[in-house]
Amino acid sequence: MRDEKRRKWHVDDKARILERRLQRNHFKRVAAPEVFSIANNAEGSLSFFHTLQFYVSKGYPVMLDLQGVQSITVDTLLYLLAVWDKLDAQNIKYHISGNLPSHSSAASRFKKSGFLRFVDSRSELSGGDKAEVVQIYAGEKVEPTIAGDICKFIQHVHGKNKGDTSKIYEMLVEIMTNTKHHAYGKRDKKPKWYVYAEYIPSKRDILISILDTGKGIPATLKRRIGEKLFGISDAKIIASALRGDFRTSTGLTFRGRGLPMIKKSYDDGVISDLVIVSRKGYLRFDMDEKLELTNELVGTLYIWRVKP
Amino acid sequence: MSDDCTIRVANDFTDTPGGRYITDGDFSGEEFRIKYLEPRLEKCDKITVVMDGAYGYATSFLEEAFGGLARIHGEQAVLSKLDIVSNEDPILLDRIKLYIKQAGSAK
Repeated sequence: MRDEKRRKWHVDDKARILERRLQRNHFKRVAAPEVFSIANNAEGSLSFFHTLQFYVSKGYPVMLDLQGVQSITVDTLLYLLAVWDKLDAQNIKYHISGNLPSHSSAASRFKKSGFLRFVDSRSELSGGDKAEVVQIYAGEKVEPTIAGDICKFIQHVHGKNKGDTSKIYEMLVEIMTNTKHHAYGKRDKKPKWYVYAEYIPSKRDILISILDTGKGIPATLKRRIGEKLFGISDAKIIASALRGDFRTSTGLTFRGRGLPMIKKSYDDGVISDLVIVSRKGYLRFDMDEKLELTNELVGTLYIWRVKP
Repeated sequence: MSDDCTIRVANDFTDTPGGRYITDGDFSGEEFRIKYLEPRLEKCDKITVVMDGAYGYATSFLEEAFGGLARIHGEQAVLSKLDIVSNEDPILLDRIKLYIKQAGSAK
């Protein structure tokens, strides 16, 4: 069960009080990078989470310091919620608190994401402007009505009709379905997905981030004999799955069609700037980037833009 | 339902179809197959399935509903009985036929 009291967020800027509290309670401070974004700074952001998890595993209370953050994307907040939920699911005790970025636009994005609904905060909960965001939503089962709500949001903002968003709907439902099917074995009783959508006025795009906390793509795919012997990077195996190479670990030929469908939507121009991060694999298609990261992301994060 | 052998998915089942299995969540392909397709396979000479009006169809939904039907009853029995209507997204017809054929050949 979620315990918001162990997730405290300080929304008023009382840095000195916090400082004293840190010293008194032996908190470990973990500072977020200036660019707090898995899409745009995967190494720096995942290093932040790695440090957080290290201190929690040692039993320290942790203070997440976001004051120096200049820009933020909500993918990091989805992942933070996922880390917390995993700790709860494993009955690991923790005490984590945090603060807001000093930078006004970063703080504003933080608040309107709906993140504060998931923590103990004295802030008045911002409903977020419904014309600008679909706030963070988390689920365990496939919830097609949430996918429908995001499509309605796109239709409303971009003046599109139902048929124009059908591929987005399919992608969202497929990712939710994969979350359920790719849990971490019997111990992982509650793999979850987290989704968020935001209108970016400067580009008139809608940015969609969806995270699933299953095993991650590389762990769900079959490796070929040569790959077992000589190894294959996570980024390469994700790229192979996106091409539609048969690798499904279920051994069922009718499975494993979701990823090629996502890539096809990108190739067809339905979505743009597709980023997929899973375990140590990072792929950003617009920039033709395929990286092997130092710190892994547990699960799979998909980010894409929808153009008007 | 306009007649017992015509299924308008968005009106009769849902306009927000879900994932593959009933255990995945609401409005799954398996649920659609069990509640709507299988009972009509015996009863109807032709089953018309109107796909229009929904938000979209995830691959896993289509595969489990139509491919799943072919895994149980065979490709020919399913192809000969189903009449799929999809004016909004004509490519859906090809996708559904593909899933039926692939499921049939893997049976």
